[in-house]
Amino acid sequence: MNFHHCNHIFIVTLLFFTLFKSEKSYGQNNNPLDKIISINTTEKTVPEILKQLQSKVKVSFNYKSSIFRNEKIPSFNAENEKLSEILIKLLSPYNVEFKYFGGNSIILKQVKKKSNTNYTISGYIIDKSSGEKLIGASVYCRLNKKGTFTNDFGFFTITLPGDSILLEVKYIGFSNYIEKSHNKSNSFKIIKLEPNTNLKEIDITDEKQSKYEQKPNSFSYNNKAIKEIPSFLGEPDVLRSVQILPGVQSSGESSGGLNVRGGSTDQNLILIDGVPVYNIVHVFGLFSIINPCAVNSIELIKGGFSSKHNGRLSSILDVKLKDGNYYKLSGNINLGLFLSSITLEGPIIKNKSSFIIAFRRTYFDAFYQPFQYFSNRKSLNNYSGWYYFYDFNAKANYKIGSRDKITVNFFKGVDRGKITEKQTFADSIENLEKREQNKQLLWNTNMSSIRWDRILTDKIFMTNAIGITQYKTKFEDEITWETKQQPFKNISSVLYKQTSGNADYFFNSVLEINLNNKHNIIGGIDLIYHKFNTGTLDYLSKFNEQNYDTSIGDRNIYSLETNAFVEDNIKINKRINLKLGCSFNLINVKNKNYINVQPRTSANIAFSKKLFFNTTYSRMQQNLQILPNNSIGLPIDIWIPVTDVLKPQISDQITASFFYTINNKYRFSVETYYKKMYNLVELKEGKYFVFGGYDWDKSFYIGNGTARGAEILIEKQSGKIKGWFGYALSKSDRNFKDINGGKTFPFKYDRRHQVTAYIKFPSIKNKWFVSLSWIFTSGNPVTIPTSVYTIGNKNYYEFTERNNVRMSSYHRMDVSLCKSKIYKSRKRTINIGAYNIYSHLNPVFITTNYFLVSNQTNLKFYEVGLMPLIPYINYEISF
Amino acid sequence: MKFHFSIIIIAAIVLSSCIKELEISNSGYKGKIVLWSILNIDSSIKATIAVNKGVKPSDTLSGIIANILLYKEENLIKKLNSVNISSIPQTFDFNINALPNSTYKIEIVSPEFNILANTQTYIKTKEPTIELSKGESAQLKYSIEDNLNNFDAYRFDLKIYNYGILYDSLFDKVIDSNYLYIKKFDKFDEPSLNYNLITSYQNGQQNYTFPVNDVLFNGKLKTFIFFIANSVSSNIFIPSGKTKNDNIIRNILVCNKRFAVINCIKISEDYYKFFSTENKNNAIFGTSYYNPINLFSNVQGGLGLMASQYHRTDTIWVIK
Repeated sequence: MNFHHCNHIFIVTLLFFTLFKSEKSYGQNNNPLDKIISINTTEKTVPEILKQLQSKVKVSFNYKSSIFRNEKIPSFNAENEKLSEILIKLLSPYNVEFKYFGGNSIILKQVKKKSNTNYTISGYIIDKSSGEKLIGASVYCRLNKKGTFTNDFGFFTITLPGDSILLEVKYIGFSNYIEKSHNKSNSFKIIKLEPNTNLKEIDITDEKQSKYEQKPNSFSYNNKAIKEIPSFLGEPDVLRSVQILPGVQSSGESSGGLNVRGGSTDQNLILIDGVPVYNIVHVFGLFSIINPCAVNSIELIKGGFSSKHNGRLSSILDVKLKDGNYYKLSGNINLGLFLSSITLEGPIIKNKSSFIIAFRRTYFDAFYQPFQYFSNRKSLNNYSGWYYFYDFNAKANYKIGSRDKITVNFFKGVDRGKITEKQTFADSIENLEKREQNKQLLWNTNMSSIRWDRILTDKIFMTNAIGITQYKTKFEDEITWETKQQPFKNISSVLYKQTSGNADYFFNSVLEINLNNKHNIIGGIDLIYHKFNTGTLDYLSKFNEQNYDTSIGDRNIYSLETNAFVEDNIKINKRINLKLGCSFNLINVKNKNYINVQPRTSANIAFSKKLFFNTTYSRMQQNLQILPNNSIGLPIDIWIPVTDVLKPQISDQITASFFYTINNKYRFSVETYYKKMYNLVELKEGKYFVFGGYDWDKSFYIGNGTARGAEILIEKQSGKIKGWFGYALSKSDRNFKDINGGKTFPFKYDRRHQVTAYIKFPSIKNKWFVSLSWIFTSGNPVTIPTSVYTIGNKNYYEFTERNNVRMSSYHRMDVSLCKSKIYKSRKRTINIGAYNIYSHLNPVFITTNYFLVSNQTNLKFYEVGLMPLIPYINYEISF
Repeated sequence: MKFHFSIIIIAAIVLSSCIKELEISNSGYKGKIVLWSILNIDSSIKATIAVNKGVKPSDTLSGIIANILLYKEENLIKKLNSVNISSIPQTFDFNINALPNSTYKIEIVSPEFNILANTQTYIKTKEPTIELSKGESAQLKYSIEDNLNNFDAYRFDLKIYNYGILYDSLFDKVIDSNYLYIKKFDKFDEPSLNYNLITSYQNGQQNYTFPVNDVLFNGKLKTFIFFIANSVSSNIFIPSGKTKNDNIIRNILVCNKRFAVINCIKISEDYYKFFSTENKNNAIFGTSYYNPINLFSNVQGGLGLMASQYHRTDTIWVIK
């Protein structure tokens, strides 16, 4: 063997070991780019930071020193992140890529200059486990510092230079998605994000794009977050989840609805998959009609409204329902003390078509009725009654190719109660007389729609929908007599029925155009045919063979409404965004046209990475409302339309907000607003809303309202403890020329101070999750009499000032403890907790009592509270 | 006492509820005169007068001395001097009959107050047409011609007077040989009266003698139909107690005489507005369903009402 041979053998052996070692390196996964490290530097250059990284990871970086300037980076932080992600953050501003070929060396290389040709990337962001769309996901290219968000349908479109790109997709609750590629042509992508419940903290300062695109005057929840908020009887509730936000209040313990920034409950547009619903509560407000198991996400918008949102003055609650799992059959069963629900979702055709159905019902009536039967069975004279509600959601989707999708949606919610009184007279000479009286109250909400979404081009997304939404109420009172009195027999009955309701038949079409990365345009049209039945009274009486039938009511009022809107979201530069939009509304009713132009503007200015400012102006119009001062004595809403006499309500709202990020964990915001409302109505004193009464629309006073306030919110959305603390200072009043002597008086829900807090604690022994919420509001004003006088033998009250006294403050704490376990491949969750845990009885109404002292009548007022500590337990099985 | 599960639920709600006194610091009381005067044609004009009381005992006015003046067509026809007005209502009789189709005004004057109210009395109208059909369920038809030029509202009070022999429930023993049973008006006896539904209360009892306005029959002939069940049947069953099983025991009245009395009261528009506000002036405040409202008043500078009514009573024999 000579030297050359030895060399040859040596080289071969060296190569072999090198390769083997490399393979072994790959096989053992010793890739330094995957190592998890932390780094925290201030006032260091890039080479100095690379040197620190080298010492942590035991790897060397090879690069030309000329590719980095000597400028110092004020602050560079990363905690428990992969080296690859840290390098992306550090190097992308310099167009530098990195490659690892094994060993201890990472090569850094500056990429070529960007080309002048732009290409558009568009597509959908979906949940990898279910195929559900992800709304509001962030899509950002670090190399070009351009980004966008997915729209309400999970669609995104972004135009980037034809060059290397580094696409980063983020969404809370999911692992980040990073894709390096070369943008050579227009492309369509379906990006699937992996759910990740064990996420580290999200560094919110790293969310450069999201910071510059903050959405003030709004708050969003996903499905998981709604379920974490303590709720009444353990039933997660969409309305209760937004009632703990500053600026949002409930109307009280016994009635549902939202009062947002001084607005009344009918000034909130509730959308379910884009379809408005008119009644949103069950059981007089204890529960909302929206089943959280079917919800994907909700967003509450209190100001700075987009041009696409029209029809109400004070807020938009946009509820997006799930599509259903595209890959496998799944669902859950929820068992509670008062009601239970079942949800089932799955593919119809895998990856192409899906469905979801959700049903829930109370069953208290089913348990109570046997007890009633048992206690009434021996009595011929008794009372019985029942009450229940149910709601049913059904939705199906079908994708036609990669650009079209058809969705069919159906909802029904019913509340029903009945009281029966039976009397039987029987004596020894076999004469019998029976009397039965049934009083029944029913209200229901129905909604159905068909939607077609289409990606027209890479830059244009279109959605069209057609459907119907309905709300109906009915009250019946029926008495039946049966007399078997020898030799005569007499059967008589009287049925008295009040019905009311309204329906919308609608078509809408919206185009979203990403003109370029500076202009994103939305435009569209809404056509709505409204039908109102403001009240019908029917009588049917039968006395043996004689019938008497009459029907009274202004049967129906029809109106045709058209909304056309356009809006441009303009990126002036990376720090300033403008939104300029307008909505045109035309409504025709009883041969009268109302035309209104509603401008919408917004300006976002980022002063720094941590501080930005936003201001908005919105004009809103509302063409219908709930009958004020409901005089029929029943706890149901009646919607009344604008008419040739009753004009649309209008509001103008301006807002100004500051947002500031503290220590990369906390977000502090101050939002201020001023809102004026016009053409508000109050029923004239002495006027009685007669069912179908003639000229009912002339029975109102017309006036104005003003609301102003400031809302402070401190949020912590990452880390072990999450939650927020909010404070709102507000003032809201009304002015009617003919009420209160023309003097301004406080709005019924004017509560000066509001404090809200929500905390989700870290898990206890990795098993139990605890969350609590606390609400405090000042007492709302109420009208109490200033004097009493006697006519005949009856006392009457004199009211000289509207809303002249304040009730006591309202405060309540709710707690929830939750534990989940996987058993036989099914997740089982037990949830225990309490509503109003320290049992503070908040006043619901005021009543009076007379006392006679030394022949003088004293009048005393009492606040009555009804809802004490209410514990609950829930059990859920997910499969 | 019979067990009712519902009682437990109601008790739970009541016991868990809380009542707390609401302290009122400033009641905002202002003393006002309260006038109540309803004029009937050919009846003496009377006025009931008092002052209102504050919600705090210290807030009530006392020691008011005033003059009460009565005018007819702007001419002073009677004056009551130095009348003492307190919070306890007092009725003053002017001893002057109200004439038809005349305008009357009452003025109350004192150093602290000056209040004024007026009303126009009715013209005498045509008599109603009354028909009583025969049969097991008789129909009592009461037809009136409404005045086209006025806003009118009607209140009805129907009572059936039944005289006869009262037996015990076994039909064995005579309890009273000349017993009178009065059956009162029931809202379901005349369904068409139920529109414009306004229910008034007296002494805590629901009283279905409510007014009906003439919106649907202005200037037309209107027939009200009352169903009098078992009009030809002699027997009426009158509850007199309960067995231990809660069954009602009834005595039996064998009628030998029966007649119906209809009081038809036509009231002016202001009086109707008073009724329409009456049941909204209630004792529950602060709910989100409705605001309590003031009782309608046409007394300038004060409270109460001065209005007119036309009262007619008709008796219809059913069994003589």
